[in-house]
Amino acid sequence: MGRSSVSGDLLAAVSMTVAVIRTAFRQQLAYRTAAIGGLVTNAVFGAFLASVYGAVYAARGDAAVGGLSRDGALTYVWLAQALIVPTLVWGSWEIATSIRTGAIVAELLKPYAFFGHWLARDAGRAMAGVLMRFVPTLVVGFTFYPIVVPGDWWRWLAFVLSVIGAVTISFVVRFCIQLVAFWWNDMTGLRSAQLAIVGFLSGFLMPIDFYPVWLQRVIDVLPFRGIIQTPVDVWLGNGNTWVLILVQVAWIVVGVAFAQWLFARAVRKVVVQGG
Amino acid sequence: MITASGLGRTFTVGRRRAGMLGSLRGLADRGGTEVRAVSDVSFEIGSGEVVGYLGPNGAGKSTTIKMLTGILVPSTGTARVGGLVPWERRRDLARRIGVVFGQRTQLWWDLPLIDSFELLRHVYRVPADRHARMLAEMREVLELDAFLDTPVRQLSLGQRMRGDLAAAMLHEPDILYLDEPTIGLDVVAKARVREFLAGLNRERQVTVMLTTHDLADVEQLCSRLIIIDGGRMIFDGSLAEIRRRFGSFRTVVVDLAESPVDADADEWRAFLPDGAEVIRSDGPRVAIRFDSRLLTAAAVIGRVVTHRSVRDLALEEPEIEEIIRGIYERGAADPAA
Amino acid sequence: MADVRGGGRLAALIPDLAVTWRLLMARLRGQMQYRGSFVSQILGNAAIGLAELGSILFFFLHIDELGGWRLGEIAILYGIATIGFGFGHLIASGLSGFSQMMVEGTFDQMLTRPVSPFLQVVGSDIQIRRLGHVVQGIVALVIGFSLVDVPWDPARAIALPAIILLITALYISLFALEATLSFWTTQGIEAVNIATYGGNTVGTYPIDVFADWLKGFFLFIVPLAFAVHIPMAWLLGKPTPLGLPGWVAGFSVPVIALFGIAIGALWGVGVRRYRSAGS
Repeated sequence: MGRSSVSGDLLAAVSMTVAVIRTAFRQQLAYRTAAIGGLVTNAVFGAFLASVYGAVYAARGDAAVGGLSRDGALTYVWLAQALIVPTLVWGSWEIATSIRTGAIVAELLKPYAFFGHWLARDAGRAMAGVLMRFVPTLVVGFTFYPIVVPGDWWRWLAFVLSVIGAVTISFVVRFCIQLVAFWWNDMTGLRSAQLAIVGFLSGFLMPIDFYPVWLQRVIDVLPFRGIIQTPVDVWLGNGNTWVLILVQVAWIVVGVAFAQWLFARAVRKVVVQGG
Repeated sequence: MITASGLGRTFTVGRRRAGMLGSLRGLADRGGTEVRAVSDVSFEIGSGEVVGYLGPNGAGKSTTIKMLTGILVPSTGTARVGGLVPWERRRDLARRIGVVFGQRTQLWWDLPLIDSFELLRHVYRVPADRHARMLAEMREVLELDAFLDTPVRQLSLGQRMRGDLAAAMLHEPDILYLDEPTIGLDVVAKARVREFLAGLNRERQVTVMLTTHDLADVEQLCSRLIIIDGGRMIFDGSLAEIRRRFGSFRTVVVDLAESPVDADADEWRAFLPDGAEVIRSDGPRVAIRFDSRLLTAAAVIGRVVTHRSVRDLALEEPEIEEIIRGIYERGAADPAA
Repeated sequence: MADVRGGGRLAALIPDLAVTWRLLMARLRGQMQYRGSFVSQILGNAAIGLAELGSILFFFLHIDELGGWRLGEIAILYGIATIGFGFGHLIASGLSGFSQMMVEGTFDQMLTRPVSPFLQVVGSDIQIRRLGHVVQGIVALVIGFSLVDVPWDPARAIALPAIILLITALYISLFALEATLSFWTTQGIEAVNIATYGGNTVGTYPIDVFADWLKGFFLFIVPLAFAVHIPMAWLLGKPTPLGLPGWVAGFSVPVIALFGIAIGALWGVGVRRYRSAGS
């Protein structure tokens, strides 16, 4: 067999990626009955938080906070709940577990890019999450609450892009954090810390519009707001939509580069020290 | 000490339905089949007996033990252990029994062995001096000192089993239930455990009920065997009785002077007396099994010698393993091996 | 088929509790061996708590009162509710692992011992990091007490720890309910999760803020209002929530006690069923 062509390699890589995505997607679909329980949880918490924000705005005579109107805040509540599963803003731990059990070594021997493979898996998982959790949660919210819905068709497109960006940024964050498992044995404390920090900085805990203005400026230059706040802003039309998406893309580029560098160092450690 | 009368236990194995909707439907209508795990089991075990409780997997051994320890309530029948009905007086009975599961330790995984012993002292409310005395005895007999301060998770299987045995005895129970105590142990460890159990029974008259798949355990420890299969008792008696009733065959192995070719069974059947047959042949070595109720060894050997030139011979007793396997396979009804 | 009837079981309670305490301490000793993890877990939990507390404080950058409660009052409400949740979740650590115990046969082992099986389950684990919630609650209380003048008197001084006890008892009951459901089904636990973690969320806000059906749920089904909101409103000298008359506060203790007893009874039913139906 002669030397394989670049386009041939590319084709192979693409088809394998598609296969990985499809498998991950189907894997998640198998858990659809458990998803119903999760959906109920989402819906109930959505109801809790909608009540709270309703009361907050009532205490202001429904005046907007920053750029966020009352209905915008209610929409935020349901969007945030809906985005939990697709973005896994609370963290994922498969890679860390693989590192801890040593299964990672087998994976490192396989002829594919580690990062790309796990990204594809996450993509499949996120797509299933959109289907099974994101959409139904929004439907529930829309049925019972005065949710704002984007008017322009292009805004829907922008939203889809921003969600793709959100899932990717979240993946990069989760990937990098889990790589720490190569150096630290126990991750439990780190998991909680991640939950706190990412939750606080992503807009998951509370819309960033509520934070003091100086803090908002700081958060705007960090990658985390891309996970929850940016999709919400795009949906509601707050801020400059395309700039927000561009910032997401910029952080993805930086993040991927950082992740590759970190991964290379981790692999070097495994090879040199035997893990 | 342990009396069981007509104990029976039936399980309804409900169909496990998938999913949330299925579970809901399952709550309303369990459906499923009835499985008789144990039926009509009756026996009386006196104080100080060591009884082997045998049976193939799924025969109903664990279910019986669960009923005798009070974990499970029987569907039919009754039992008394130490004068108490186990499932009615579970907690009172718990003080007088010790249970050792071969597969699952009752020790605390992350803590040194000695800590588990101390915790159990409080669980069973054993006065400090009695506990100390018992612990000293266990330490000596089971040679625990070497690893008393080691966390249980770092112990070898043999050490862990010794720890479990000591733990089970610390509150000086009258009755010990052992579920596969020698499983996974090496030969030396097994011998140690058997010695320990034999000593317990000798010195303290502890009643022991022991389930095992290792028939060497049975041969060395048990004066009595109860065999259960498919939920029913198929034998209750002594080892000697088993040999007598079911071990009616013996084997004579002859080394022939000639014939490197394997013996032809038909040819041999022509001259062997009824009740004897060739079961193995390996070149010049031929094994002939005969029913010792019908024939004497002498008769068989005599006939063989007349028709073949024999260089050497030996007599084999049936292995208890073979006998019991035979019982499992054929049931007690057909004892002929 | 009651075993060790009535009075006997009660008499066994104190020594059983003593044993449970020892079991928990032993488990804790085992966990402390992994010291690094131990500390990082507590810190991590505290971080989450402080983030949550921070978010509530941020609300008050934009409003003066929420549901009629000022910042200091909400901080105190938050503090007490979270401390109670923290203690309850801490004590109930073992209960969370119960369904696993049934599968592995560990529960059967517990049934062969002369100690209440429920207490053995409770004694099987302690997750000390849950004290992080208590830390977070104390911080909130400090903030709250510095902002609010509570009309202290002997009754209120005793009531404060009593309310914390009440809330702790409620959460232990809820986690016990979650464990008890394992006797019947492996799913459906999600629903109780909503009551526990959701309850923690609802407990940190004045109950009048919530929609009617939520108010009804946390008054009649899971009596969180009786453990948290009604007593705290009384303590802070605020009007009784939900438009209820003031004397309702006197019912807090019996309501929570009854709730706990009901769940205890359900556990007993579950154990009987387990022993009658096998697994």
